[in-house]
Amino acid sequence: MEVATLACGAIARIVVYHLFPSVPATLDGHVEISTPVTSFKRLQEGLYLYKQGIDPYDGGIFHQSPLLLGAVSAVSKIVPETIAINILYVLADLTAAWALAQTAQRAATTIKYVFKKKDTKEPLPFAPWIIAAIYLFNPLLFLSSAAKSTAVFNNAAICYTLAAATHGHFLTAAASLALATNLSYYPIYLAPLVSLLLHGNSGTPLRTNKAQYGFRFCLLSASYTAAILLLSQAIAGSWNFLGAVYGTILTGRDLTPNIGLWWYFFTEMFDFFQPFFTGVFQIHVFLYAAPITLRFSSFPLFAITLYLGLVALFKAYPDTADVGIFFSLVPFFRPLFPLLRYPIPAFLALLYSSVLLPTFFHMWIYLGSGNANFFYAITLVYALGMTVCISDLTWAMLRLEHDGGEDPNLSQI
Amino acid sequence: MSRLGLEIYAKWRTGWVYGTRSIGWLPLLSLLVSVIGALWLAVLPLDGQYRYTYVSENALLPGQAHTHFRESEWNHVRAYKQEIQAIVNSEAGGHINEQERISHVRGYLADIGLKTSLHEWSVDHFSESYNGTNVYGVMHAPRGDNAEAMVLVAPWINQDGEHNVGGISVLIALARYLKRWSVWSKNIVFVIPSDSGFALRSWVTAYHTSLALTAGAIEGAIVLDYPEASSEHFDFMEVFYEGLNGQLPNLDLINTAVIAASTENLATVIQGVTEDDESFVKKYMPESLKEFFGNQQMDVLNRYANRLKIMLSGMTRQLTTGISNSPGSEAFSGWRIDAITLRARGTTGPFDITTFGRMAESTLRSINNLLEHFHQSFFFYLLLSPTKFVSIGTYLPGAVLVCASFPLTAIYLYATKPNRSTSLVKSFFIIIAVFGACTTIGGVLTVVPTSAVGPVLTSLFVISACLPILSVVAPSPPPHPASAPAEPNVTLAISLLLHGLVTTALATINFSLAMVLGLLTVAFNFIRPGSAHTKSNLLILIITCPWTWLVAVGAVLHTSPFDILQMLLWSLRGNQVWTWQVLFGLWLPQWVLAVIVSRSSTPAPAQSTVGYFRKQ
Repeated sequence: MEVATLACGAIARIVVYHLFPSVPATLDGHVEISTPVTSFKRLQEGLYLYKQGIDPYDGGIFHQSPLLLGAVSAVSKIVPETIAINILYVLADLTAAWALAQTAQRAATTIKYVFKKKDTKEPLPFAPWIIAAIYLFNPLLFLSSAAKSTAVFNNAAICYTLAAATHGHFLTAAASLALATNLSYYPIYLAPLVSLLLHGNSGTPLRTNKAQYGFRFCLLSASYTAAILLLSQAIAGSWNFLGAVYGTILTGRDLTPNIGLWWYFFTEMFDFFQPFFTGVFQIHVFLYAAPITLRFSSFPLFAITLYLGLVALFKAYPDTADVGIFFSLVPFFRPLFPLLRYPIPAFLALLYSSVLLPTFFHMWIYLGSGNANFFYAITLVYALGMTVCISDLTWAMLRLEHDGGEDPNLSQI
Repeated sequence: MSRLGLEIYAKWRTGWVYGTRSIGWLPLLSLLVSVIGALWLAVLPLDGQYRYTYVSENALLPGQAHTHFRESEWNHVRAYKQEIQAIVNSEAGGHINEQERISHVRGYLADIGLKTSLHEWSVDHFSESYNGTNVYGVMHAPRGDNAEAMVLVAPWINQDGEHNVGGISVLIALARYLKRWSVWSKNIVFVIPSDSGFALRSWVTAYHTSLALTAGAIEGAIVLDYPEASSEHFDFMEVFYEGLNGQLPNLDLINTAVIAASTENLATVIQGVTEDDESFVKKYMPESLKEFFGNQQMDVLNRYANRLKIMLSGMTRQLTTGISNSPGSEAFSGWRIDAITLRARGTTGPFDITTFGRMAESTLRSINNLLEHFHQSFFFYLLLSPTKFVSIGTYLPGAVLVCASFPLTAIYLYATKPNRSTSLVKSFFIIIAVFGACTTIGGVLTVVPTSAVGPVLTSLFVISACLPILSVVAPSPPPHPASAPAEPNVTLAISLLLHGLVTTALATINFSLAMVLGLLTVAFNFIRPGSAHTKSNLLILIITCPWTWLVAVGAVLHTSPFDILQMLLWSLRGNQVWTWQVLFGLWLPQWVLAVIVSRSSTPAPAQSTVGYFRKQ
């Protein structure tokens, strides 16, 4: 089943890339799908400059990791470049889906839900192939793949980390987390959670306690990250990429509109306020990692899912890929669904915003009748929907921990 | 997957639900919001609900510039008019052909000193073809950077098929006159398209894609329409402003023209109605009631009725512009160009043809002042009179309420679905199949020859007409024992949710289309599967059927529904109006889904609603 799912996903992507070559370019023009740090057009620009021997990070266009340049260059030595790129994208998606299926297999046996209610039939977790299918055919992620957003690689690295961690592979988890960190920075905050996940899933009983284990894991991840940075430097030929890649992610200085909360604020803001509010916004992305890690230390996979949702909500350049990976991980916690309080309002808010976002963007940019406020208003609705989703999931898990889902006063709307 | 939505039913079964009784009210709430949404429109023209227009963009300074296109120019207008009339006559008499006519007209513009060019256009579909040649000339601004332009248009044939002799002569005389001024900071393009529909639309498209002689980004466009050849006087000015696909020009442009007219005491009219006309209220109300209300009250009522009429007629025009009427200004839609059509009305009045020219002159002077593209004022509005309007924040809730009735019913249907094993995937499959089939039919019809459209449509009509009857006569298919069937309630819920979603998005782009579509299909909310609802379902299927309304509209317009579909097809080809796609990609599939749902078998449907209140 899993192989068939993966094959279907691969075929669907290859069909899009080869039979509809105009689709990636069209989708790349949609700000919901591609951002300055994931745009395929910018990657091509970077590749071109790189091949010409010009520093791709000089022009202020290219904000993606040198690893991507290196990977494409390496594979295009064997096959033509367009095919090399397509192969990399398909492989990344398949890796991610396969890793999620592996994770699901382990998670089904390791996550313990304690339902006290006797007459509630506890919904079973989804089968691994369904989890893989949800990842491969999730419209949000499929759009990202079709647009060749480089967030695909970031997602693959995160998913691979999860698979490695749930199977207790210490070194692999650290390496793939370091890779994800190098691609998009934010996964760095996941290190404690991944170490908790590893700790809980290591096959043999461990002699070290969680803190020591976590420290060792973080140290190892940091060394891997440093090693990959050195490799990046070797590929790029200079350290310019640090500012262009991580500087852009941290300061959010490219104000191209996206579905996030940053760009509108910072276009409106006086320059001298910018450093302060950049700090405030970045703290928001970072801040929630600590309480989630502490509170859900016994459910690290759940904590990781929550945190990925928060990253999608608060980072400077969120796109459909970030939302998509969150909603691909949520099905892991199917037993929680009956305990959610606001599934319909959240679902409707996200559904309506997903249709109105492109509509309002079209009205603003192409028809000239709407303006930035229209688009931004809908990004707020979307953010509201995401907030409700995340807080509702948190609440459901807390309730399950508290009383096993027994509260007779629950009502779901 | 089925867990992703509601769990209410499961909880109700376990008997510890709080607040689920309100679910039973959802259909009523759905009806209520759609009724409120419809009534919302009637509230808008009430005193206190609308606003008076105001000029938002300070740079425009409407009506401030002295206009000098006066009696001294009248002789030129008269001369050009004579010439144009002569050309019209000799073309009608067969003395000159189209090419000679065009070279004459081009000669006038060239003699003035404009750079001129021709644009040959055609909108083809197999053997059918609309074609012609447009003439245009560019006046380069003496103090501009050649990056921006204004456009003045006088179509050879106007929207009513008349020869626009007055408009063209004013245009040429204005070209001659405006050329002498040194105030222009934007180029002026003078266009004489062969008609006000596809010809102008093709020119605008070509201007942005293929024409060699261009003059920069177009900031604004004015279309002149003065068909009364016999008289050089007129009574009032009519303004047309609707664009294609529900687009409207910036309200500041209309304000500018209205203010320019008011500085000369020239009355402006929109939708052919003024507030002080005798409305249907005054006409048909019995005398006794009139006396009861008294003169003052009657006056208020009369003005309200007229504002309502103007608003509704504006919505109708928004719906039909580019399909059945093309005043000219709509051709600029989609290129971020604000355009209006000015039309001289009447033959006796105190105003002469140079007043009409001064309106164009004054408006051009205002546009010329712009430092930025029109952006300050409203792009979404309903006009109630040339100086009264309601903006999007006030009118949009009407459409949104109507569209919100669909998800409300969807929630109800999903929440009360019978608790038996069903397949959500099958529901999705049915919906995708129906949408795919209808969209494909719609798409195929756009590419087949016109002669083939008729038979295909006739068979579609017949099949569609049979569907509701079938749903009554034919026995419901027995449920397949082997696998879980699609639950009709769920299929309907998903399709309604989808319908609400798309119409809401549509309401922000094309308010009139969404409002009309929402109201015509609002009865989908009351489809219920099962034989117990056969009669009501049949009625609903008839009143929500797109063909019913095509026939009805055809009857009102004294044409056949096929002609209306042909108009939709041609508007898609020539004007890129996507009402056709909405018909075949949204309305028809939703209706077919309603038919499928209404004839699906469902055990004791009454139980699912009535039983809901039964506390276990």
